[in-house]
Amino acid sequence: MSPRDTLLADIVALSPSSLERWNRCRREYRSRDLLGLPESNPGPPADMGNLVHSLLRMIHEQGTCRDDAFVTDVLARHGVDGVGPVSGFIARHRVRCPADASRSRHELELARFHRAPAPMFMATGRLDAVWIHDGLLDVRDYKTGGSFFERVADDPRARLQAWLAAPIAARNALGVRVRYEHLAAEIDDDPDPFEPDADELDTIGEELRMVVAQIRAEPTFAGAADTAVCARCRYRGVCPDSATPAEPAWPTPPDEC
Amino acid sequence: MTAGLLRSADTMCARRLDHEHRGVRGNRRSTQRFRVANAIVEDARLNHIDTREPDLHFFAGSDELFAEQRHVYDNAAAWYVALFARRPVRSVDIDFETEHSRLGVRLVGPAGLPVETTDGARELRVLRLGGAPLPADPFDATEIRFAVLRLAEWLDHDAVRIVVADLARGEVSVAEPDASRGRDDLDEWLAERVARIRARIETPTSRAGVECGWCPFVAGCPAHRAS
Repeated sequence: MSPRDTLLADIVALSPSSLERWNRCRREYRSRDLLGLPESNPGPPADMGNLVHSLLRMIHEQGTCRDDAFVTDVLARHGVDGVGPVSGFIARHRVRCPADASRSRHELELARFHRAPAPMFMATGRLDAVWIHDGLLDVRDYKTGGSFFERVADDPRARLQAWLAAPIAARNALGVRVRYEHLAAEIDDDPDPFEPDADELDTIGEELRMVVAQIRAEPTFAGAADTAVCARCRYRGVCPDSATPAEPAWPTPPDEC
Repeated sequence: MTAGLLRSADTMCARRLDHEHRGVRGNRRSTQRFRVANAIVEDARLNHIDTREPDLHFFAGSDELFAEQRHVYDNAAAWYVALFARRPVRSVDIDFETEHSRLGVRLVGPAGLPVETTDGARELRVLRLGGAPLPADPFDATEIRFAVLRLAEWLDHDAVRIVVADLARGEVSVAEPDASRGRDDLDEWLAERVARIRARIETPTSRAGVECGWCPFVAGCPAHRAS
């Protein structure tokens, strides 16, 4: 068997992140999602984003974001004071939090298998938060970085999230909405939420199937070779197609060795 | 029992745990993820077929590595030679499985790179490529516990050294355990893990989640029957 033949499993997996990488650069997708290689040029750590996600989960699992004393206590237990940037993220979430939700879940893992027509694929994702209110399954994606879309419907990652959540919504006779909560202080407006109907959900399923067909047929996994893409790529130090080649940032042995 | 099963005994979907444990044939998985790590271990083993220090000459790798894999391989080979320099050793052949008769299980799968020094001291080298930080105590890692149990007879010796090396970051963690004392703890740990797996696969209920992305048994899975 050639390396190309053993690159893909029988059933290709898709997640919001892997789909984003595929759309951005075939070579980056191969390095990360198929070869599982350590990054040659890691990006900045996601510590702040991870902390905010974790705090929001704890606040909603143990109480409510509307209880000032409780929120202050949760933050204090994690070494966060009441006036810093983290408390700002929480405060900006509070004005977006559905007040009348009957149920909610944080860090909800979902998987949806597409069997036929070929090719088969498995879509998976971990949703930051899901609320049920006003006849909706309201999927929230907490964003602590920049904003890149004016409409959530234009982001393939959100489309995949909607498709993942659709069977739960259907079982509960709910509609699906995906909304981005941009919690950074410098971003004033969230992009328009995405509320796909049944036809659009079918369209998304077909879009994903076509992506997987492209992955299966991809002959070379050539790099994007685009300055804007390559400059931020975490594999630019090992990519022969990079438009912004760099030295790998990983440690190398001393010369005398 | 593989190291992967013992590591995931609490968290893996019970249906997948059951299928993996029984060796059920599933859909084909990609093998490329392990290609660099396997190549490094195999080339290190060949390096030490005779008692030798590590030498880059033996780390040619495969012509079939993708360019990015080749970068990772070359850096890992350079770190192997640097971290184990001036330490001539001979690799030791081991069986692919070890029977643990008291628990009625076979431990199956790779168990690091066992080597012997010229004065007969025994060393188990476990080679990693990035991932989780190295544990301060190597025995905190399931792969080390598994490897030591697999090699228990061979490691039952006066001079034993266990080295975990991350060949992506150039880091090592070394332990020189008292083999006879540590063995009781490891046997107890294994018994607990095996009991846990047996309890969970009694009712192998499927559970949909992110793990389904790399499960080879999804095609017939009840959790996805409605798909």
